[in-house]
Amino acid sequence: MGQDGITIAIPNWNHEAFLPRSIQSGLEAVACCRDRGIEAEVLVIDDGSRDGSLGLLRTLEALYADRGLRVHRQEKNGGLAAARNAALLMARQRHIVLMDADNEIIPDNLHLFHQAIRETGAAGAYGNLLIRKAGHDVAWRICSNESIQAKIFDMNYVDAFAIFDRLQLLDVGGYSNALPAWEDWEMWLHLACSGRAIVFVPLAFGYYYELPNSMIRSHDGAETHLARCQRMFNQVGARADAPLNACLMRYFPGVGLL
Amino acid sequence: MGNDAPSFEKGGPHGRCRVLLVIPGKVNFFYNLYARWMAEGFQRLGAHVHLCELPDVPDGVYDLCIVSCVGEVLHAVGRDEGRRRLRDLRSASGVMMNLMAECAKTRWFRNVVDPGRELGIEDIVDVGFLPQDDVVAREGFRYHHVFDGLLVTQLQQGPAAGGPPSLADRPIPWAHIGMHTKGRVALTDRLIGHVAPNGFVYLSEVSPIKEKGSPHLNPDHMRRVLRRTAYYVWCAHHDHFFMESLRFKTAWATGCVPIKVVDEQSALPADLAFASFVLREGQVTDVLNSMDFVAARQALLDEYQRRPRFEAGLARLMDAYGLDRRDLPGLAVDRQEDTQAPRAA
Repeated sequence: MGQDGITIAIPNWNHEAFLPRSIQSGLEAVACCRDRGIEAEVLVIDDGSRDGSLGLLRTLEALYADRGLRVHRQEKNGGLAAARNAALLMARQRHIVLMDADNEIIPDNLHLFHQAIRETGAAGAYGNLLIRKAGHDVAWRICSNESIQAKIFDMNYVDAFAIFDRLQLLDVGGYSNALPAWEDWEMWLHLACSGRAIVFVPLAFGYYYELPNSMIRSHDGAETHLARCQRMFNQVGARADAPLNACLMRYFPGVGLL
Repeated sequence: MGNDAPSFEKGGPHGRCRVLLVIPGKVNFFYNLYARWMAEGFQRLGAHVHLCELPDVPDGVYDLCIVSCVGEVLHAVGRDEGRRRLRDLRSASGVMMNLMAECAKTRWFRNVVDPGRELGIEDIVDVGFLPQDDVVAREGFRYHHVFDGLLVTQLQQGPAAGGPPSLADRPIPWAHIGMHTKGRVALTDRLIGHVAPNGFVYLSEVSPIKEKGSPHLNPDHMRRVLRRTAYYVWCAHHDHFFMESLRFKTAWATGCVPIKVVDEQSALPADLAFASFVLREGQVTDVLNSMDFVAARQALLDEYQRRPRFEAGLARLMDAYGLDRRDLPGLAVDRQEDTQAPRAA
């Protein structure tokens, strides 16, 4: 298995316009980690894009390979879960950040999330995501802003843009293809129901940009999948009374569990 | 302040004023805190004080009963049982007051006062930096303001953080804690981008605040975080100007500097207490980047030293209701203006 550092994995499907921003923030995060003695890399998984992504990615890879950028091309589009699972297998480091191609990570804070996941032994650690509307430079909403609680069985409020222990993610079988558009939620519930620890770190992790025609907005049948997800994890509505290791788990480096 | 408080046979054992403080207990810790501080203050003023949750109130009569937010106490006990118990307590109390520590212009104010009014509790004691009698009296309540200064013992013992002001052991540059609102998210974004990215951000959704099992931080969590923090920054979750005095007190106790952020349009009252810690949103990042932490911290300590003690407001309240109390030297109880302007150091 890989070293104890961080792979920042960016699955990409036709997000050419946003790749410079996400990759730049990822490479800056790599530099910040390396300055602190933490090995890190950026791994882009291109999921059969049909726009100009591939050409751009090959150029960026040639320019920035020494700064830790790698690109893997999947010829056939396999969907988000498959792209993430490919990243889990191809990553060189123990910890993996799963970052959408239109996300932006806050470079200076990544080492603190790395510290949090190592010190807690959690399967996943996440922090606040500031949500900006396209064209606006100030956030107006926030998500991934609370610890795991029973209410997560009714709705998802934790994005996949987080850091994970790659070993634990592989151990639970990786991402499921069964719930298109709800892969994030399915994974958090799967980890929680598997007794894994999931920790909320009250720091800002990155930026999430609201874009027209995003996957969750444009996906057909989302409501059906939502009901299916609830059927899988909380069919009789008893989860609120069942103990979960992840429940209300909060940790801040230098302060400890809260 | 009203002038038609109910008459009642005053004085408990040894002629001491009997004060009962009823706390919510497991919900909304800040109302527990205020009641505990009041208990200490009333004791220093010579009262015989009992503090407990509503189901634990012992049989007896009281010269003064303060319910630390009727709405929260009912929430903790259950509405029907709570109402029954409070009605019983009302008939056993000379004066019964509803404690509030909220902005009177928000909907939260209704949660405080409406349940009290239903039970015939028409006296309100408001703890804070700024009197809100204009709003509360308009609603027909008898109103009494207590300036939220430090207790004599708090000043004598000093902040729990102790030692001279220093940034050593404060690796968290700023902390922003509160309910999630659009304005708070925007402030957080500016702090991350223009001050330091690694601030403590805890903006949770609106839900009941419980001692355990809720997403909110409890007083112990707050202490642990803020003792590692330089600047405790916040803005209101509503559009009205209000000084959140508990946040100032928490900053004082934990060794950090409070920074209240207001929008550009807010009209600040003249002679505002702790005005140097109130910043316009347009200036907050520049000021924080150039602020001398040690000097700002010392200014906070100095201003608390100059402001009235918490006991002074309680003494004034007892006087207003004709309740016997002990004289405490140096409280300047008779000087109403002390709640507005600092005394000379």
